[in-house]
Amino acid sequence: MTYGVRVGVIDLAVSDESCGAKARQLGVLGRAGFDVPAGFVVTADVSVDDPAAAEQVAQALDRLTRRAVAVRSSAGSEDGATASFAGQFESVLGVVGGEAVVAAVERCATSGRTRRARSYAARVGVPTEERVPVIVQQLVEADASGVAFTRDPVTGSTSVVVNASWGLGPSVVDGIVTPDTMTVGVDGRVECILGSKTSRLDLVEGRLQRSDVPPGDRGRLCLSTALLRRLAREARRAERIVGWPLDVEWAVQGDQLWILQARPITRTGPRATTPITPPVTPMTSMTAVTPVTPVTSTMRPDEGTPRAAGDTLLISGTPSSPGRATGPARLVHDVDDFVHVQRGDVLVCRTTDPAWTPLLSVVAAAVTETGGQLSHAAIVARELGIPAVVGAAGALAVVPSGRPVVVDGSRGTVSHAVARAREILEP
Amino acid sequence: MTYRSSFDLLTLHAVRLTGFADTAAVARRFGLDPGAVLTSLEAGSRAGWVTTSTFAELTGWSLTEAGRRENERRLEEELDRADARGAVTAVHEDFLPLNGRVASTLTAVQLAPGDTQAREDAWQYLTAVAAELRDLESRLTAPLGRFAGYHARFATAVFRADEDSAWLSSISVDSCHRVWFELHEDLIATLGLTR
Repeated sequence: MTYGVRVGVIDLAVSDESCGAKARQLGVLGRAGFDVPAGFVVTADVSVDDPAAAEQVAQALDRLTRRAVAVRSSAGSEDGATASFAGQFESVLGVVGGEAVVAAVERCATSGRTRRARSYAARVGVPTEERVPVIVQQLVEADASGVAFTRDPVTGSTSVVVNASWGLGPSVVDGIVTPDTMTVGVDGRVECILGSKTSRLDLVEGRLQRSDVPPGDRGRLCLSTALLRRLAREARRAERIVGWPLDVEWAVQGDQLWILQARPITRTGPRATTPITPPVTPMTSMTAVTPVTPVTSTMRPDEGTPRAAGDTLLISGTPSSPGRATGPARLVHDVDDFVHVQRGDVLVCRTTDPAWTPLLSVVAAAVTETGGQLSHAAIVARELGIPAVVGAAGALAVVPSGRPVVVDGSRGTVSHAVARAREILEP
Repeated sequence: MTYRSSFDLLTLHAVRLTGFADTAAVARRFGLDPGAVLTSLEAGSRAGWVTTSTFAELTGWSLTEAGRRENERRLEEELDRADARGAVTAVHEDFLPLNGRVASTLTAVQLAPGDTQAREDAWQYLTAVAAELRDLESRLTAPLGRFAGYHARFATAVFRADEDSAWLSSISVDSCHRVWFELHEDLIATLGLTR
């Protein structure tokens, strides 16, 4: 199929339908004043095997001020709800030099030829492109990066939820690290959960390099409150311009905030279809109860207390499977402790693996010290329909063994259950 | 040259991978004789490596902490004997980025149960993952035969998920998530890593 009238190598700033959905979106945002890294689009009709086209690519590269680029396919189907699967996952970061760029462009351009893309096209009735347009953009050598959702993926509320980690984007996008999770409510309230952020990807002398994050940096949020608020404002503004909830990929270098990509969110949380009252959540942090990870002073203090009366917060973490359950806390350090677990207990542990799956099927709720919303415990808990809070660092130290606790998997809190708990436990 | 693992290693490793299972299920994992597996498990129990535990009303074999250490010691020894460390390390590196995507994909379906488009996207993506898994598995089985079977199980789960989404992440069938997660555990155990 052809892409409109324009063929060739086109400046990203003036990209339109002929450049594919992703590039078009970036073009729209760039023209609306967002900071989008400079770049160009190689349209689908161009083959870089053609020496003239390769020369055009080389010239466009020369006009960029930075050496390393990111190369991504820009799938052709316009509507986000039926976005072409073709090349959706193709991207190559940190490409340096004309030859390497041409090779990366070719790889991304032909990603629409894969069997999976054709089969998808046949099933959902959209045409499969033989080649897709490709975006080549200056790589932002990010201090921190991540994604921002203009809808909360768990609750479906209109809070902006930001996942952030040190260095380049794949750490968050590929789920390699537990990122910081920061939520900015419509009323401006900020809630932060510190992630472990153990490693980072950076461009070092023209090569991608993964390294350990020093302990000091793991223990602090990788965005200042000011930057976080700016990001939330920008994400909301982008949503207004596009007219659809967005999943925004961003990067920060110094004080500069870059918008790398913006995709429509085609799935939102379970409550997305009903009118949402933004949850009135106090500004809590899991760090408040663990000495190793101090709360950053830029955050507002805990304003108390929309939790149910009688509950005293013990610890909070990442809300990972919705619902609320009460039961006696069972601290399980390893498989040798399994024998102590009884049906209806609240499981508190460091992490889970396959041996723990049957355990999850008998408990009322699960709390883990590590992991994020994509961890084994989170996925299995959602499958079983039990509340789960993950990444609650220090839970084994602060949750009292055998005492009734309330796990709120929608808020990410574990609280001491007083009086009320007895009614639930002993009806 | 493909290395064949010893019977005792496979028995202990089957307990690790199935997590918590009865003798028949432990034997099925590597297609071993159930009688011989029971004998081996009983010996392992006397050595303090495996234990039958009962919690709530479930009973099954699982590894003790000492058993996990013994399991990892044997796996490491085998890894070097089979000269497979390079291959397994490289596959693990390629596995990790896929792992994040697979988890996000399954999560997206869980969070939007009625969303047919999300299911369609997931199915398409997992089909592609199945193809990649075939390549990863062949890189593993070239030196170490015991890694065989993940691709077939995963592809079966994807195939069945097309009609019944329980095969995406349910714990009651050999779902995509279960197979995928078991491979993750296998790679971690083999390389002596922690999650």
